[in-house]
This record gives sequence, C-alpha cells and structure tokens, in this order.
Amino acid sequence: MSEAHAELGFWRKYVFSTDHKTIGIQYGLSALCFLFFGFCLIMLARWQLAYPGQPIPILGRFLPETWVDQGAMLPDFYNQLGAMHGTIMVFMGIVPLAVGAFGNFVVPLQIGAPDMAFPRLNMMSYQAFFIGGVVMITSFFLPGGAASSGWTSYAPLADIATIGQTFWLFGMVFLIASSLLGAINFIVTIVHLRAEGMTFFRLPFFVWSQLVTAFLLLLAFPALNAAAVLQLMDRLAGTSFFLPSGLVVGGEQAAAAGGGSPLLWQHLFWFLAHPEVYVLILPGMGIIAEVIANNTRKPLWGYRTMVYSLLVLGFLSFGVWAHHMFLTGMGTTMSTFFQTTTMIISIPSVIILSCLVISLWGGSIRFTVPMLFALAFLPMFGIGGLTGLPLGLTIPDVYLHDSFYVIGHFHYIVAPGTIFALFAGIYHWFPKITGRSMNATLGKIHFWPSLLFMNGVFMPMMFEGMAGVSRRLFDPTVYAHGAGAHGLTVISSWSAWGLALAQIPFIINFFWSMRKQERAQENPWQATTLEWSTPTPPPHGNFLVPPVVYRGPYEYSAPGATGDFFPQYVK
Amino acid sequence: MNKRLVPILAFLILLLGCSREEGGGQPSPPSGGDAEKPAASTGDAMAPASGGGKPWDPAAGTATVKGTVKFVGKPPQARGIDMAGADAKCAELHGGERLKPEAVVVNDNGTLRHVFVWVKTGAEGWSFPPPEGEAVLNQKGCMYEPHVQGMRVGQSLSVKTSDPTAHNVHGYGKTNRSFNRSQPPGAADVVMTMKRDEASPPMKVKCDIHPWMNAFIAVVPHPYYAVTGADGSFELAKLPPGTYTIQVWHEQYETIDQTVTVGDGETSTLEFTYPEKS
Amino acid sequence: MSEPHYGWWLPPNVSAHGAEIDAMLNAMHWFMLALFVGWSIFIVYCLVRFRQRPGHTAVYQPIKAAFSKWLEVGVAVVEAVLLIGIAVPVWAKIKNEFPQQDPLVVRVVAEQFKWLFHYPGKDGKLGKTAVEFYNDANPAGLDPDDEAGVDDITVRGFHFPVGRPVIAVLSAKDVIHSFKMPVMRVTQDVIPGLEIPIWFEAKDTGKFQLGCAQLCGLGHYEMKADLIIESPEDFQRWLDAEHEALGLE
Repeated sequence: MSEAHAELGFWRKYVFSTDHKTIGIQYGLSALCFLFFGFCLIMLARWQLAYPGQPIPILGRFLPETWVDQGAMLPDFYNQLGAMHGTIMVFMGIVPLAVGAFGNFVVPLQIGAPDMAFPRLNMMSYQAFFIGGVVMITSFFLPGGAASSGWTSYAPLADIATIGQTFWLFGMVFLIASSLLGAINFIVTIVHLRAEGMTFFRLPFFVWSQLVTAFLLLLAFPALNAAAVLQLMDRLAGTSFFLPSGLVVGGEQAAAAGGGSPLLWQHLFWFLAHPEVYVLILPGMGIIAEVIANNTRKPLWGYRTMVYSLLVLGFLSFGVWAHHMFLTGMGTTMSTFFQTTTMIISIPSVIILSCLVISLWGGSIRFTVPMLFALAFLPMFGIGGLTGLPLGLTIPDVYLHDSFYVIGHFHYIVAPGTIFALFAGIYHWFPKITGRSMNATLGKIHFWPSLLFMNGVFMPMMFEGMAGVSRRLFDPTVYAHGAGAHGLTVISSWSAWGLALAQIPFIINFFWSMRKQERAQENPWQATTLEWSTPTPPPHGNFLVPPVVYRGPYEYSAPGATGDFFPQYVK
Repeated sequence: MNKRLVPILAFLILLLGCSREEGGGQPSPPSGGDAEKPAASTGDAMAPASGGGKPWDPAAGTATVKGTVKFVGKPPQARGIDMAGADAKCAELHGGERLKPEAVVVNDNGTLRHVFVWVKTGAEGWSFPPPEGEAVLNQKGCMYEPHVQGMRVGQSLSVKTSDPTAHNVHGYGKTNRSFNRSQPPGAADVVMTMKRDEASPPMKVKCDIHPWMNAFIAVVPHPYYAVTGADGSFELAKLPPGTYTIQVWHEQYETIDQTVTVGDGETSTLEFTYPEKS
Repeated sequence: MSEPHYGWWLPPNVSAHGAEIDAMLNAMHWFMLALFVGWSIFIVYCLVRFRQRPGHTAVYQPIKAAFSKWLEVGVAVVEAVLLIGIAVPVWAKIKNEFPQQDPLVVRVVAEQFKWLFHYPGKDGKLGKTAVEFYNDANPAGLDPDDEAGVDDITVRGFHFPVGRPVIAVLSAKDVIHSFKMPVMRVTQDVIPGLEIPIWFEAKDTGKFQLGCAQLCGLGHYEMKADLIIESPEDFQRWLDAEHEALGLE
C-alpha cells in the first residue's frame, strides 16, 4: 500500500506536503506555538490584575507607549490581551491541535486508510490556517493595536473599534475556511476510507469524536463566517447590519445608516460559538477514551452508549446557543426553550463522563503519564461541567453572567480538561509519530505541578464570580466587592505563573526526546488500535499491506486471547 | 503548489495596502492612538513654517480686527455637572460643588464665551514662521483647560494630567489623525504634532472616562486666531492690509462669517450675535 | 451604618427578590458539591482497588453497574425541578409582573463610560427625550421645548428609596453595556436601539456601587456609579436638594 513515489524535494516533503502525517505535524507545531503565545498574553494581563497600576517587571520598559505608561499597562492594551488570548487559544491553539494535528495524524491510521480523502484540500486547509494565524498576530503591530472587543466581538463596539478588529475579521475568515475544508475531508474520509472489516461500531471512540466534531464545524462555522463578512461590511462599506438607528458616539451622532440590530450579531456568533465549545471538548474526550481503555487493560464501559450520547450531544448542541444571551432582554418563551435544551444537553455529557469513570471499575490501572493526565481530566471536566448548571438556568445566571464564574467554568473544561487531554495525546502518540518515547519522569514532573496550578488559577475564579466580580475589567479593585475579592486574583495570577514554569519540563522533554538515540518499540503501550500496526514512523501510504479488521477497538483482557490485549488487525 | 499561494498572498497585500486611515468616514472615528510625536518634546525646533505663500514680513502687519460676540436671549437650560456619583475623586476636587457645563457660557456683559474666532480667508499669501512652544491641554479637576483653543499647523500639543484619577484623552480628528491615549494618575504627558488644518470645525477632544469633559482644538495655518474670554471680546492684530473673511465658531451653533477690509494701520471693529436669526 | 462586607462569596443582599436567587445559588452549589464528592470518591476507590499489581488482572466484562442509570435519572430529575419549579416561574415574575402600585420610574442611560440617571421632577413626569438632542451639555437628551423636562433631575449616581418598587428603563447611546447591581442581584444588558424596563425593590438601606457588566471599550472598568438606597424621607430630601440645585425660579 505504500506507494512508490519519486523522492520529493525538501519543500514538497516538509512544507507543501499533502501527506496527512506531515500536515498533522505542521498543525501540531504551529498550534503549540500559538498556544504558548496566547498563554504569554494572559500572563502579562494577570500582572495587571494582581497588581493594578504597577509597572510590569522586566518587560515594562521595553513595551511601546501605546501599551504601557511608564511600564504600567494601559486599559486598551489590557483589552487587546484579553480579546486576543481568547481568539488565539480557541481558534489557533486548541482546534488546530485537537482536530488539525491529532485528527489529521491519527484518524486515517486508526481507520486503516492510506491518507485523507482529499490530500490537496488538506494542505490548503493548513495554509489557510497559517495565513489566518499570521493575520491575527500581525494585528498587534497596527496603529490602534489588535482587536480589543473580546473574542466575542459584540456589535456595535466591534463595529466602531480600531483597525485591529478588521484584521481579526479577515483572520477569522481564513481560519474558518481552514476548518470548513478540514471538516469535509474528515467526514468523507471516515465514511469512505475505512479498511475492510472496520464497521462503524468497531471504530475507536476517538474517530467517532472527530466525526461528530467535523459535522459541528461544517454546519456551525458558516454562521460566523457570514457574520464576519457582515461586520466587515459595516466597518468598511457603510452598511448597518448590526448598527441600530440613533447611535451617539462620543457625543456626536454616528454617521451610520442605522436600522440594524446588535442582537443579530450575537445570535449568529453564538450559533457557531456554542457548537464550537463542543468542538473544543469532543476530540479531548476521544483521546481520553483511548488512553483509559489502553491503561485499564479492559474495554470501555458503555462504548455504544457513549457513541449514541456523542451523536445526541452533537445534534443538541445546535439548539442551546441563546443561553449565552439570557440577559439581553429575553422574555419567558425563549428563555424557557433554551434553558430546557441546555438542561437536556447536560445529560449526554454526563453520560459520557460517567462511562469513562465507570470504565475504571474492574480494570488493571497503569499509571503511565498519559493515564495521569486522563485521570485528572475526569474530575476537572466534572467541575467544569457542573459549574455550567447555574449558568444554564436563568435565575442564577442573572447574577453570574459575565462574571469570573463564567471564566472559571469554561476554563476548567478547556484548560485542565481539553489541554490535559491533548497532553495525554502527545505523550501517548509521541512514540508513533517520532519513533521515540518521552521521558516518564519528566512527564510526572510536568503533570503534578500542572494539576496543582490549574486548580490554583481557576478555582479562585469561581469564588470571585460569586463575589460579584465581572470579567474583562482592567482593574477590578475599582469596585469595593472587587477589592474584597482581590486576594483571589493574586492567587490566580501566581498560579498562572507557576503553571508556566511547570511547562518547562514538558518543553524540554518534547524536544530532547525527539533527538534521543534509543528508539521506541512499534507498540510501546500494547494497544489494540490500527495505528500501532504500522512501522514507526509510518511511511507514505501508512500500511505495508492493506489492513483487515477482525474485532472491536478495545479487546483488552479478552477471554481466549493470548496476552492481555487482542489487536483489531490480528486474525 | 506554490501557484495556489500567490493569489492568497496577493489578496493579503491588497488588504494591508487598503487599511483605512484613522478618522475615516465610518460610523464614528475609530479610537486611534497613532498620533505622531516629534523627536524632541519641545515643539519649536521641529515645527515647520506654515502657510503656503511668501515668507512673512513683520513690517507688513499693521492692521487690527477686533470685536465682540454677543449673546441675545435666554441661554439654554444647563444642569450642573454631577461628578460625585460617577467619580468621587473628581467631585472632591471641587469640594462637592457642581460646575456648570461649558457649552453655552454667557458672560455678565451679555457676550458669549468660548467662541473661536479666526481668519478664514485672506492670509493665504503668507508663510509664517513656526510658533514658539507647544499648545497645552490640561486635565484638571476632571475638566479640560482650556475648553477651546487654537494652535498652529505643525505645532505640538502636549496633554497633561494633574488629576488623581485616570483619564483617557480621545481626539476625534477629521483631517488630523485621531488619537486615544490613557493617562493614569501621574502619567507622562502625551505629546503629538498636529500636521493639518482643522479649524472649521475644530477637532473635538473628549475624555472617554468622564463623558462631561470635552475640549475643542482648532489647528490653523497662520497666527490670526483668538478665543473669546470672560468679556466676550477678541483681537486679531498685526494683519497685513487687505480683505479678510473672519469666521466665528461655537460648539452649539452654526458658524458666522463676516468680511472686512482693513487698510494700512487701520483697526476695524466687528460684532457677531448668537444665536443667529434664521 | 456599618460598611458592607465584601469577601470571597456572595455580597450582602439588600434586594427583596435576592433571597430567592441566593437560595437557588447556594442550593445548586451543595448539589454540585455532592455530585463531585461522590464521583471523586468513586474514582479514588477505583484507582486504589484496581491499580495494576502482581496477581491482579483486569476483568473483561465487569459487573454491570446499574446504579449509574439511577444516578443519571436522579440528576435529570433534580435539573427538572430546578428548571420547572424555580427558574421558569421566578423568571416569569421578574419579566412580566411589573409593580403597579406607585413605582418610582427612573430612566437609566448608559454611555461610554458613565451612567446617567434621569428622574422626573416635581411634576412627576419625565420630559421627552430624543437622540437628536444629545450633546455634552444635555447628556440626557431632553427636548428643550418640552415643559415637562425643565424640572427633571439628571445625575450620575443612583438614589432610590427602600421598600418602594423601582422601574428602571434602560437605554444605551453607543454600544452594549450591562447594568449590574451586585447587592440587588440585578443584571440587565443595555442594548442600543432598545429600551428595556426592569424592576426591583430594596429591603435595606446603604451605600453601594453599581457597574457595567458587558465589555464596552477601554473605559469599561471605570464605568461605575454610586448606588444609594435610603429611607423615603432621606430620598425626598435628596430630590428636594437636587431640585434646588437646578436653580429654577
């Protein structure tokens, strides 16, 4: 199956490659860089939160006058940091890593395909992502700075903001194009290119999660794409899709046609952004499922239930978006509808988590580094999911909306949730991608402080939110209740800086392991899924002979098998 | 494969090239922040000569136009500015007393204050030496001082803050670049050069944090401008003999133009009346 | 009176409907804590009992855990109770049952970056306002030809009397803001182009703060106002003092 090609030159092999594995690595490295950059942005902002008005140590004197005054951060720069941190982490960090990197590299291997269905489209998808990323980063250097209206870019604020917002919109158009191209590719690949014997219910849960994620991206992103174009037109072409009549800005009547609606932007944005949060978590759940099955040496409990829950979750995710808009003046009918769907959608979510937890029962649990991250994912995602309950009901939401409670809620899901799952994936698949194993001791030194500091950053935010502190405030101590909760802010900030230090063992491990002499075995985790049957690293075309699948994906400790695992591909 | 990148890159380059000037015509001038700064903070050495004509000859400036701006009738109702509820530090600076807004200030002698008076046409033939010093806008007691001022094209404007509370000076330039700069208490002066004519109307400056604060700055290519004070009078001195259009501008009302011809050594007196009878 | 205490949990509640909100918030957190502790105990138990060690192997089809189904059903029932029993009816009350008896009607205008509170004067009528009248000397946008507006009071701090329902009509001049009074447990987005009425009633007096809870630009953090809830007599005294300050003949 590995095709005989003429040897490709450097550019065709490493830069303009159509091989899903190379593209996956490109996505992975770019996304990790953007994640690091996005993290640096918020570490800077956390100084201002913990020590408002104090000059930033070391860096303060090097930053330009429009960002700092005598070293102390200025409010506009703080808003830029906030908006770009969110945008970069979600659209340039997590999604490209979870879907573009892991999805691209692992899915064709796990289904027994030689590559994605549309390899050239795959390459263009990466290039669009890269261009979008460059546009976003360069916006910091514009006069007026980067976008500063939140990652949510609500109109009319975003309509009248500086040119950084225009770049944000163009950047989003490229990033969305990248995701749409990728989504089509994933769906066609998973439906059409499965190996012989790979029925849908023999697919690893990771592939199911990528399939549902691809549908979410495909169907939800067009709404934001359209909204971004409309907002661009409001900003550049004099339209008023989101500008109501009678705006008075800075004491002057705004020179806009009027007649538009700011709420239209919110609906279009959240129609994407709610499914987007499931895009952020589902691949992570997929990774966790693989790692737990592998390290408990038994099948997942409730695999079919989990798959059905995944499908229901994906479907329902399109019907809950306005729970982000409860306080916009919504009446009883709309709010009842969206509260109901929001409560219902928590059920499949809890089912998936419960199945993963119950999968531990009766296992033989190996505490490998991937498993440590996977185990930590369970309670962390649990906290994130639980704290969604008060936000999903109108009455508690009246108080908690747009407070630090919301920030704590979604970060618990994305940070010690998805990012931990992505770390688990990196440690788990590193031997397959590079042919070397990552050092387990460094992995544990990475894990424990990360877990501690993740909680140190985000648990105080729950309390801050209950204390009434709003989000996106350059200086929360302007309010007495903000000053009263200031101790929590300081704890969060120091934990964030500690969290950064805790990543150093990971970075060292990552690069140092790649260059080790000692090669890993072909299947170091004794796993059952197809990707472990290829040579390491897999050649172009992946499989030496077309694989045939004989059984389900998690036949660990199966009766009648020799050894404690029975790979899918062995007769 | 490279070929497919070319249209994408070309599009990006087009995009960068077409990025809008600050202060463009969309809903409201976006908050800029890119105002130019001269290399040295004192403006005089750097400000160029302004005006398009022949170099100024002081001996030519012998005439004067002076006058008053009267106000007839009842001024519009003006409520005292309540600072206390919004920013206690501002209120403390005034001992709790409420200042009157500066929009329509009628002096005791029935004249109008804060009117900007300038030579609109007639001085184009000259090129004037650069002004000395810089124009100053001070944030004091959560109000701008002065409320209305004129400055020269090419002169630098220094925005100072003397207040214990944060301000944000936001200039809405229509020909000059808009600017939007935060100044926490004790912040350094923000210094910018105004490079283009902007007198009809003058540039509006607002504080984003305290919405009652506003000021107007007219940028003029010649030195013939004044602002009426507590007696409602103005004087434009050292004019060369000739015919001039004198314009008065007030923030709430339409501009009024009057034409006057002055001979060598003459003084002409004009009177303007607001509000204008329509 | 003593300074309100602001700590690491809910601030003091001075609102008549605040008790319901606080009860729901506290009850939900106990429920969430119970679920989390339960789950965590189960996980830790599994990690200890089923850890890999010599002589221990995994079981291919372990005992079916039927209790998880009951747990799911239990969670769903609790959610249903919270939704149908509390959230929906209380929201309906907040949205639909506006006070009829002698409410104080105040117009609240949000602009970048301060609030403005517009009270009717002695005539009890709010003057007409329109967008074309907004300027820096007339931040409330009052129509100068409307007699009813001459005695209106426009201030930047929010005063209202305890024990009397207040209807606040919220509008924004420029971008989306959000009117949040933490001690009153009130939050409402203020959207340009819309006039959104809300109502509330205080049960205690005091001096607090209100702020903006939706990012509205670089001055968002500073968009605060004093919130002064006073006895009806003090409130009337304040209104009279404001009327004096207008200097009408």
